[in-house]
Amino acid sequence: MLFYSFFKSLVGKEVVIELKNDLSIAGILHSVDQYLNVKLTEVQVLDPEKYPHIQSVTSAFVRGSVIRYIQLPPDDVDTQLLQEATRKEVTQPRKE
Amino acid sequence: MPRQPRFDDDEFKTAHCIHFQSIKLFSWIIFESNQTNDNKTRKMAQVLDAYVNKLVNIVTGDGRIIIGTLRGFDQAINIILDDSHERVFSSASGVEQVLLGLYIIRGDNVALIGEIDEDMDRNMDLSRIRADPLPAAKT
Repeated sequence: MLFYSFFKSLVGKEVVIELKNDLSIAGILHSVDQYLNVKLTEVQVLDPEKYPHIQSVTSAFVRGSVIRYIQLPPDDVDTQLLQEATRKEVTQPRKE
Repeated sequence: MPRQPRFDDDEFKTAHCIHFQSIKLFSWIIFESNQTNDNKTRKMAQVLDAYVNKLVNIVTGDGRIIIGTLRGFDQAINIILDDSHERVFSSASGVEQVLLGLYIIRGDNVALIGEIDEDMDRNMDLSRIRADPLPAAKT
């Protein structure tokens, strides 16, 4: 649940999503759910010459299972805090 | 010697009152947390609700592009598409459109669901677009 919360804090920021089919899509993060499915608005494909396949797409829902990387805006991520939080989650057995 | 509580005893009454209050509070907390869980699942579905009855572009796991009207979906992102067609891209010739009709796509195979800007889509000259087909999603 940590990364779900983390991505929720990035809603409204611009991210680049790299899919497992090598497609890279830039857009504004609109929402995330527990499976890390992601919805983007103002979608733009990074290499439109090579990938005209989703040219007319304005907003997109990406299934979490096909996402390889999500490139984050560095200024909006507190890496120190995130590191501590991930450590805490590993060392403390989760309740629930 | 300890005093036996009696039903008409004031102390006994207050004790039970508090007990009932706390049960009420407890059940309210459970109720509230169920509510928020429901809201969470509902919110998840709402994301795709925005695309229902709209023209969408589905990219499948094996790299196919299927265009159609989204009629329904579920938790696993299984999808019902109406009046759908596939766009087959190739680097040798323009985009070929293959009619498919009513389709159900299993959630596992869905990579991306894009909302299509219909004006933009109409103005696209598909016969002039040359591109290799999308690769399959490598796991």
